[in-house]
Amino acid sequence: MQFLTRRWALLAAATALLAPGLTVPVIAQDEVSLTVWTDTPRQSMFEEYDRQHDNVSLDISVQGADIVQKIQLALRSGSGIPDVIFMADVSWGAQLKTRRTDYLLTLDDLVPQEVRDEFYPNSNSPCLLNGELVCLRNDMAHFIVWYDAPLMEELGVEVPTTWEEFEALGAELAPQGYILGSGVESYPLVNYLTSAGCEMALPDPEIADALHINLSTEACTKPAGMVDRMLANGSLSRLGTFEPDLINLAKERRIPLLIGPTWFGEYVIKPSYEVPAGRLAAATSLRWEDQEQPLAWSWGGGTYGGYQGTAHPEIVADILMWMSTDVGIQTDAITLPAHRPSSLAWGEKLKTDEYYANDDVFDIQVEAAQYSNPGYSSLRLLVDQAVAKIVGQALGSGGTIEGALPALEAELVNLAQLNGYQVISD
Amino acid sequence: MATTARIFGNKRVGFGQWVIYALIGIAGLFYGTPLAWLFLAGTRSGSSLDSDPPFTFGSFEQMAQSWANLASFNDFQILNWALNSLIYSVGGVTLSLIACIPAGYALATSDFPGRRVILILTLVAMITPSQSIVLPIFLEMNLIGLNNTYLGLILATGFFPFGVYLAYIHFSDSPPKGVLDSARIDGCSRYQLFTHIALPLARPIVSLVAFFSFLANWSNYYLAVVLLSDDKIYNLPVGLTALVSGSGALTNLAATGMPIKKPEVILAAILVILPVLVVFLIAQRFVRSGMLSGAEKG
Repeated sequence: MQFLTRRWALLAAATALLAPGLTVPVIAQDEVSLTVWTDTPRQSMFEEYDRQHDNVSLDISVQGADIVQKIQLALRSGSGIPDVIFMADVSWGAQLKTRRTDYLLTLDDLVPQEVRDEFYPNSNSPCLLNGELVCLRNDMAHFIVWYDAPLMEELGVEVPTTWEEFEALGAELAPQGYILGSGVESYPLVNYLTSAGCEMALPDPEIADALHINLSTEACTKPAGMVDRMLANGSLSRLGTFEPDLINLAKERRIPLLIGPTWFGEYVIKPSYEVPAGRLAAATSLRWEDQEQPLAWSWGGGTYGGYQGTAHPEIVADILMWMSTDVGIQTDAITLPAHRPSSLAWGEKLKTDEYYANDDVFDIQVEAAQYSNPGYSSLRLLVDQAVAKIVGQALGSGGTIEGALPALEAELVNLAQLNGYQVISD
Repeated sequence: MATTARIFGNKRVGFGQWVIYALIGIAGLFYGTPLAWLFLAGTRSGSSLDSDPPFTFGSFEQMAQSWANLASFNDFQILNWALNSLIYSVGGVTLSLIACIPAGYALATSDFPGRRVILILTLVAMITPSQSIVLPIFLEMNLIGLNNTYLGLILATGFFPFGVYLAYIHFSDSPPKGVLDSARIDGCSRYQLFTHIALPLARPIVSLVAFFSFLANWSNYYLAVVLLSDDKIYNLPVGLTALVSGSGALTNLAATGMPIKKPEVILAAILVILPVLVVFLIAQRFVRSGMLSGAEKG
């Protein structure tokens, strides 16, 4: 038997020497070559996967924000299609899983349930398209409360736990020249508006390509009214989060508290708002008094996806899982990993980070993760842009957000229908 | 006397000239302000960009720091992109000169069947938005396997109808028809007429076509972003756009952990326009004289 095996091996070697074309499958079994399109921050992580896996060779290329268009072109030409991609924007998933652009690989049978269970609740909502898992979430970005602890103490005010208390705090501090962040920035605005469960293009869990759009309910008018009142009394600014004038207010310590995503502390408040070390603290997401628990929208959070036409779906799935769940690589991730075990390792450095006033910033981010809004999903329309357009027009002409809700609903319905969604308004 | 004034020594300047100087001053201010801001902003920190007045000068140390941050990205990959840009630009300029100058000469000096059609097609190609032919070019390059290669982009940018038109205008009256006729009587072939008479006298138009072709190639984004998908062969505009969008420096998704922020992006913008300024300063004499080519012809 051993002799026979050796003979086959010799025959294979002779064939390999005499007919180079026939050797390709033998080499392919040894090393699989895959193309990866990523953004710059994830490049080194893919390179690390390449280093750690001898049987896989990754051809990694950095792409810009036009990755969807480039994949559409590649699909059209039938060549140069990447096997694995990183999607920096959650909406790209929906754009890459359409009838005409059927790019994304369905991961239902490739990612075990126990792996999926290791992610924070709802963190993979942007990856569920019509019930199919088409990607894995890299990082969380849900809204929490950020505040300047010594300044709050100096002002003699408590950190709010409900939206009602948030509004009351704003009303108390506004006459003293303090604001609680931006009231016009689109993502925070979507967070306010969806905090009570407003149906602003929420996918139906049962019906494919169907969205719930109904902005006439109290779940929408209540938060809209709150923002209107806070804009009117000046406790929420009419400046955008990144506008220089608002940044200057922050530098002058005029923003004792704001609602921002988990990455705001490290990447906005610390470098741009220049809040000194030992002042910044976090609190969990706010809820309405009649809610049992908060409902927090997200601002960002990338996803990993694969090509449904790849020759190596198992390896592609392995890469996606490794990138999003490998504790070693995710420990050094830039933002809070969506994979819970990875995030626990990642969070250790926050606990000892002297920049923060308290050592519970990470614990609060973890606690708030369970409140992530399941409606934060990948859509072929951009809700935040619709909000920016309609609310911007309304406020610019002296109107209110509550008054603009019918126009916003009409805009969302139009966009949804244009993008092939069935709209459910009941 | 009321409409004149004495400036620059004894030279009298009329009211009309004052108006012209004023208009030049306003135009200079209007168009120079963004450039002045850009170069000053290159010396400022992110904090200064947010808080200080727009035309504040930062420091050369800050500029050096921004440069170091830019250089530290991926083992100075920006230098690689700049080199790629140079390759694409030199290749594109060479190819367009090889094609445009003889084509313009032939159209201006010869009467052959289809000449009028070619001239009209050249004008049509010149006014057609380049974006509208990007997709056909992509599919064509894909068909011949040149997508995502240096040669593919160089070949695509070698098509420069504006250069053909400029050369045609120039050769329509230069050299004068009499000179060409004399040379022909002396025994010059068509090829010799071009290489020995017309071309040596056409340095201004060659420079002008080369300048505009370089400008188009150096700042070529749209065609390059479609044809190139490997970051190792990106040109500067595509590479920097990928870098900027990945860094979140100009978007609201700033959580990237990269040292590429607004100051680095501004420095990168200066890096892109600097070679064009240098080339223009070097070539301005030729560009100016080339611009007057065919002026008498109208």
